[in-house]
Amino acid sequence: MKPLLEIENLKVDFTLPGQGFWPWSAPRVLTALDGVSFRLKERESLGIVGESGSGKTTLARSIVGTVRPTSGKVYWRGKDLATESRQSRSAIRGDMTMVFQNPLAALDPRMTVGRIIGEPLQTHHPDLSSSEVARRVGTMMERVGLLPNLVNRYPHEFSGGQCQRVGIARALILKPKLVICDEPVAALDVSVRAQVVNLLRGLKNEFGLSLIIITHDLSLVKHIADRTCVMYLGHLVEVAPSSRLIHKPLHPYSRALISSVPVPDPVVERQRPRPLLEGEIPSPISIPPGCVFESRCPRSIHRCASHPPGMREISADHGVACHNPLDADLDKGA
Amino acid sequence: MALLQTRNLSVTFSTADGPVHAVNDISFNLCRGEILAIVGESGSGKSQTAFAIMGLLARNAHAAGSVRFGGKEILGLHETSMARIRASDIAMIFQNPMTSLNPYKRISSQMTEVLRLHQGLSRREARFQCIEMLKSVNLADAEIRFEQFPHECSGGMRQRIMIAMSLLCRPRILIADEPTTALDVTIQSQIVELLKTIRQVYGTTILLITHDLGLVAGCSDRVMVMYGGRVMETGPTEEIFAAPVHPYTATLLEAVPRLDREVSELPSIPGNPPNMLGPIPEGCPFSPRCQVGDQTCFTRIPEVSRSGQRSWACLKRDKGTGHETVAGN
Repeated sequence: MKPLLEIENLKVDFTLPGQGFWPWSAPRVLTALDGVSFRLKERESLGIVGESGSGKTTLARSIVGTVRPTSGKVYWRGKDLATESRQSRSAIRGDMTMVFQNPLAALDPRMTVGRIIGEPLQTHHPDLSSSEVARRVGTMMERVGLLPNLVNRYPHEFSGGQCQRVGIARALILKPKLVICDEPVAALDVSVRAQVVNLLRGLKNEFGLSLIIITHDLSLVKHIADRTCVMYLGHLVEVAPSSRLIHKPLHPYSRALISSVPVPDPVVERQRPRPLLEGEIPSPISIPPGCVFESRCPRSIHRCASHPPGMREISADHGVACHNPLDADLDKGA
Repeated sequence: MALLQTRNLSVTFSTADGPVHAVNDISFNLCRGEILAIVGESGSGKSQTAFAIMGLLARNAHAAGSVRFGGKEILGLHETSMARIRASDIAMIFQNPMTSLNPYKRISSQMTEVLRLHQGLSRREARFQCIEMLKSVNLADAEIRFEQFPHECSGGMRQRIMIAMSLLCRPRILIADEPTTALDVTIQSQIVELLKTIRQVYGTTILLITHDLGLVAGCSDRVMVMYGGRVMETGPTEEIFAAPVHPYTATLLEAVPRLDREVSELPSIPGNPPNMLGPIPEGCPFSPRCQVGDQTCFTRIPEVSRSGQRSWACLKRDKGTGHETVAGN
């Protein structure tokens, strides 16, 4: 079966004005994504984790088409998005929608919630009658846990969690195949976060959705994603089924990331060995020639500084881009 | 004796839409050398509590009650005396290190200003001490960073600079308001380690304000849980996490997604956090979302029950049952 979405060797560069006094100084290039490839099956949920500046959001934007890739391809059910006609691209856009991080900022403050949710319907199906639009908006609101009588309220009258529900309703009203959630719960309170995570999971099963969950929160990925990609400085460093990634990471960066996540239990938390990662993510303007993680890696070997590691399949479904990956079995023997 | 004593502190904002009761009648002690974490969701009043202690409330806010520092009342103190306390005794670091540093000034002038103004040091001495402090918070290339502008540093570096700056006058209390929220997880754990080191090296008492229960578990000695402007539960960190008495604490701990635990569905708390606008609710602020409470919870504000080092405010968990829960674990 053809994958729903296939990303092939995606690279995104941003050109920045040159540094220095002279207007003719050479422009600098910021590489936001480099050599990113993955496939997404139908009804699969894929988590993308990484620190800020790792290119997570740029990846989402280049999938939905708000950022034009410098090179590489995005295939939607085998069709190359870049060569498709305008009309067919617009139809495909109806099949992939996005949920944004800050729910209050993502909603137009001057539109009622009903109009916000119904707007995509009116854009993509202009022939629908207004009563039909209202009916579908009402059903969708009920489905995401909003009372349909709130349809004429404005976003500022809602709490953060409710606004995120509005954002989800708007993303789902077109019955898309893929929903890309960019930090869907980062701006929400703990007590509301669980509600939204459960809602997304329920909707995924009910509508048969594929999800791409972009987050910096590994514990969220574990609850919602079948597979997880770890990104660092615009590169994919590891792809694996979520629980395997968390229990047996192979890339040193994945392990560092996992062990940095605090556990809300004082007994566990105080005993946990914590390989603290030194330093910070380097600037994406001058990316080092070898492995991107080399400057912070505790396991770097000679090759790492000069040769970029390619993505290797260690086992089925588990890929890692590292010259010296952690091997759980080898470590035990040593 | 407690270093900082807060009694019946309330903070009210007068707004165009009516009064907002951000903090209602809270009391707590901050003991010398401890790390006390105030945990709560947004709108629970945890930050306003800190601002009230620091005398940094917004103009339309009114604070009532008592805050005693070393036995001396500091709530409502005159601005000049308060400035002196902020200079030498109680320092604060803020959530977003980007907005709390002046973007127009070099790190050097922002940092040395503190020492030159409050301690009357010469330029050279101040510079020396600042760089020493930057090194002690593990800032890489401290001398180079010292001459840079805030925008040239990353978020984690800026937070280190903020911490260094707040420690310059050797404060006795450091109030850290969500110090890691704006940072990545790997940087976050670095900052947490730094806070623990500071407590050890300088003996600074730390009031940590956060919504992140993982952070609390890792570094605090005691926890105070707030909801809707009131204190729900206070106690030693281990005991609270092992056996929460208040229903809010219990459900909150359940609702956090954890890396080390397998669950099919996250237990969630129904409903939304309270709207603080309008009159003070007659009952427990958590009652609309509580699974345990009944009608009486809506009409009566629970008194504080105590057992050992722990205290809680819940009608359904009175002294007897609370005791059992604690003893049972």
